[in-house]
Amino acid sequence: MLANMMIPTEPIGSIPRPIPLIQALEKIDGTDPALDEMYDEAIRDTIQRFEATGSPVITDGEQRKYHNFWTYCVHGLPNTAPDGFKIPFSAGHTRRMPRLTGGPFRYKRYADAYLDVALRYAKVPVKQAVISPSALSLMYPADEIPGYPRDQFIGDLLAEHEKEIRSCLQKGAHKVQIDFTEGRLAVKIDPTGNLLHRFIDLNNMALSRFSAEDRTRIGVHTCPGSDRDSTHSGDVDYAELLPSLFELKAGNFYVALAGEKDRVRVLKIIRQHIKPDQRVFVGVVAPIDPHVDTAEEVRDRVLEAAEYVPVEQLGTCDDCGFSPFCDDTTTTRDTAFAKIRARVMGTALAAEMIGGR
Amino acid sequence: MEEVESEEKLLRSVALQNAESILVARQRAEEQLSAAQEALQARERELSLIYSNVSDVIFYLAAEAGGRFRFVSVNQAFVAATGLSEQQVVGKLVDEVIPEPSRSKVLEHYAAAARERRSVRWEETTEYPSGTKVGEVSVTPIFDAGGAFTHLIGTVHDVTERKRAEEMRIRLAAVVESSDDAILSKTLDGIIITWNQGAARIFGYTADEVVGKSVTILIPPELGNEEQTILDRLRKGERIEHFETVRMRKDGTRLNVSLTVSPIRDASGVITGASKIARDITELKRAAQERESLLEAERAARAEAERASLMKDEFLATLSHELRTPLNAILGWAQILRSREHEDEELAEGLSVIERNTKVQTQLIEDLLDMSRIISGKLRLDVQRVDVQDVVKAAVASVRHSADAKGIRLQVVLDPLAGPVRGDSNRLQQCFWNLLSNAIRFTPRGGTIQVGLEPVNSHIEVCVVDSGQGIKAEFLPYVFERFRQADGSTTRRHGGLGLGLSIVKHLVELHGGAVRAMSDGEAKGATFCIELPVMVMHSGEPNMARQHPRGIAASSSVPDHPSLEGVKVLVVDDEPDALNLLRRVLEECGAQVFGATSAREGMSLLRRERPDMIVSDIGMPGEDGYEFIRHVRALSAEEGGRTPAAALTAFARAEDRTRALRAGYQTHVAKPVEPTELTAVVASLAMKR
Repeated sequence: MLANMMIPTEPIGSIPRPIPLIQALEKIDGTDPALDEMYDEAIRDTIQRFEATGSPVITDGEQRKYHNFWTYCVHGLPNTAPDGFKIPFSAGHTRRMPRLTGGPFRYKRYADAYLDVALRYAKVPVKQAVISPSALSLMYPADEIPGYPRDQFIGDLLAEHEKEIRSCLQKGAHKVQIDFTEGRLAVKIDPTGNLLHRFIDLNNMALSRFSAEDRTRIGVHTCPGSDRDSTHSGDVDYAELLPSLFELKAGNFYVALAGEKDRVRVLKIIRQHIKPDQRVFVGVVAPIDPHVDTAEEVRDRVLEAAEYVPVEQLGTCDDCGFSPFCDDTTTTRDTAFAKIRARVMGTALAAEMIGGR
Repeated sequence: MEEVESEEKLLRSVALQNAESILVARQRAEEQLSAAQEALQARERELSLIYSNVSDVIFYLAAEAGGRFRFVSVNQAFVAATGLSEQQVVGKLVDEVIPEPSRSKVLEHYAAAARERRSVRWEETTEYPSGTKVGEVSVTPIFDAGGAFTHLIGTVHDVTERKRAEEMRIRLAAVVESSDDAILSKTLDGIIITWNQGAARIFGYTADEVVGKSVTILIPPELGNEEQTILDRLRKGERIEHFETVRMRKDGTRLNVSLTVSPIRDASGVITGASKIARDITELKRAAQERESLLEAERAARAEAERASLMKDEFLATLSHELRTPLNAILGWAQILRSREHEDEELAEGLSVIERNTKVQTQLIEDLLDMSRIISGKLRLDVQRVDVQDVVKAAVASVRHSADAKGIRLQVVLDPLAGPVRGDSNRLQQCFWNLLSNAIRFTPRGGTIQVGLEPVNSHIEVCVVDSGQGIKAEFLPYVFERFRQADGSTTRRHGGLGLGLSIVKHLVELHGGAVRAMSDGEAKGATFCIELPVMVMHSGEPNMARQHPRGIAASSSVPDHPSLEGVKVLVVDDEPDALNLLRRVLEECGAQVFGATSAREGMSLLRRERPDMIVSDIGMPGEDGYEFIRHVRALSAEEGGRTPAAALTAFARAEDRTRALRAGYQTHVAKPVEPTELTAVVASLAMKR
């Protein structure tokens, strides 16, 4: 019944890693083959529990995305240095980006490798999250790298991003979700909106390389960041982001909403800017909120969203991944799956109610 | 705090620098997009133009529920082909536009394309206002992003002309294949491209054996660079018609062919190869040659016939002359002797002339009869063991008087070791006599004639060499032809019918021998040689009993006039002159002769006088000689039924002789007969009694 419900619901991606894995990662590098067995077990368990929630679409919980959703693809590249930018979070901690030290720019790994493993265990459709080119663009340092101009870097970045998405689509990902959490960060860095527009441009340049049919399976996720129950740009008004966000040439948008103070205002903005061929998945549970939502709470949020967004363009999701950074232990796996179950059930309840109107 | 601010400033700096690069990249992308859009629009325009102007029919259908299809658009070719306007079609269901029975068929194909998610092709024959058209229809299903079947795009390629051309090509190919002529095509380098059954039949090569090879394998080496000459002419665009030449089969045999070679041009008129038709004219050539040969033979035959006719005319003239000449002497002297008193000397001369001319005439008639027998194939030899020396001696003896009279020295050299031959001694003597007579005739007074006999290998050779006028080289090949004489004019110096040598040749060949003539030319004499195969020797005495009376007569040991003293001879002849002559000759030898002028009288005398033998004419009025002898033989021995009898008759052919013997005569003697021969025959038969 859930699989056929009229309001689709999808996870964003990450699930907190099992504690033994987190502890092992503190001691040895994430690429060490000695961890393979633990990774596989974590993925298998995650998928099993994910499917147990009734979620019609699942992820591998990003169990193997060391160290995080942002740098998984460049981690370990020889032409990088660890002293990139620090992204400050509201909880007071920072996350540091790697810095590109030379060209050419190539991914170290592609997310379709995670999909390969997940599809071995999954019985329901699997979506795969990838990092946006705009996020990775921040790896290029302030001073131009001799012999590898910034323009060339942008070109290489787009090519690598396209390659990653195309591989995921070809391997059967239910959706490919581009993590665009830096959208609000861009507004925060450049309140004029210029940087955001350029980020939109960059991502659109990548999206333009796909057919309309492909783009129905591509989505963009935006949130204010989520790490250790805090955000990096939660203070940025959605009104500054969403109008530009819906300019992206994607078929699906995953917008964090549950954690917003004024959800109706955001929904109105969405209603105003969403295009007919786009579907918006609104966040109905907030991973940074330790409270495990009830299905009814979720149902009400869905019904609220349905007041402003045409139901045929509406879907639900989590506000964000439950553990975008692998060492984040602020949320347990149990909590995460409980909240996911609430999302699934609440969405189903709402759909039932909407369908019965 | 300061560090955070610095970090943010740096991040902003980087982000904004990146933004510049992104902007540049975007502008570049927009430019590319713009260019791509322009290209796309141009392409759209092109496609639109193509859509409108392409000769193939194109239609675009929307799929609807229930397996129905609705026309979305059609191109101009569709309008032209169907005769329906765009308004009549666009927006209408296929069911409304395409009538049955085609509709069901096309809908099935449309459904198959949708179901199998692939293009479906088929061939459709449709009646259009413009006529019947054959089209290759193709429909391709179109799906939306979700994979749902939404549209069909279809094309119809008119293949009516292609089909027609294909049928024509097949028909032409069948014509080419069934042609008796060799039809092949080749490149301008002479490489064979196609090869029909006729070519295989004529040249013996299969297509697999020659296609891809040079056509020179068909050209005999002795024709050199003929193919190059042909190719050079083709390159100039020339057509070669009915060129008769020779080609070579696979087995190396040659054949006469008539070639017609035409250049093959491509669509732009460039000569790319040549077609060649080769007709086997070997039989035609042979037939033409045969016809020519026949014509030539016919011409030759006609010429020969004309020549023969001319010769016959000449011969008749000669015959007339030759017959009249002795008759003239005989008649003249007979009149002289009758008209007046004459001296004994004059009487003797007259009788001698008459006798000589009578013999000449007899010989003429004998020759004519012999030739008649030879021509009719009825000449028979009385073959016996013959000692050629004796025969040659007899022949020499018979002409010696003539030679002496002409002062010709006759030298005879006979090898005593020459063995006997099997033959007819009379005929052989006739041959030698003929050669000798000719030699005497053509040898001037005072000349010499040598007669030689010697064994040569397995045969005996008798040569007569004279010092006479010789034979022209051009006449030499014809000396043995009948009616031929080197001098056929009416003023010729020498008499004769021109039959002698021809008779000699036939007689010698009947004996299994050969005769040849040699001469170094005019005035250089001539040599005639007769070769006879030596008889295989058998033990025992020759069967003398089978000797022919004439053979006996020819023998030099037989006396000229045997005594018939006491012999009673019954002579039967209706001609009183002949009867008297016989009576006279036989009585001179001492025989007692009883003459009868009819068969009946002969029978009466037989019974009454009981003669020792009978000599009877055959051709008599009433009962002829055959009936007479049959009546005689019907009598008992006591009555004279066993009395030996000789038929004496002018019926001198071989079959006459045979008939006489069968009727009951013991021998047959042809008229005229020499007295000596007659007496010898009578003596011989009388001895049998």
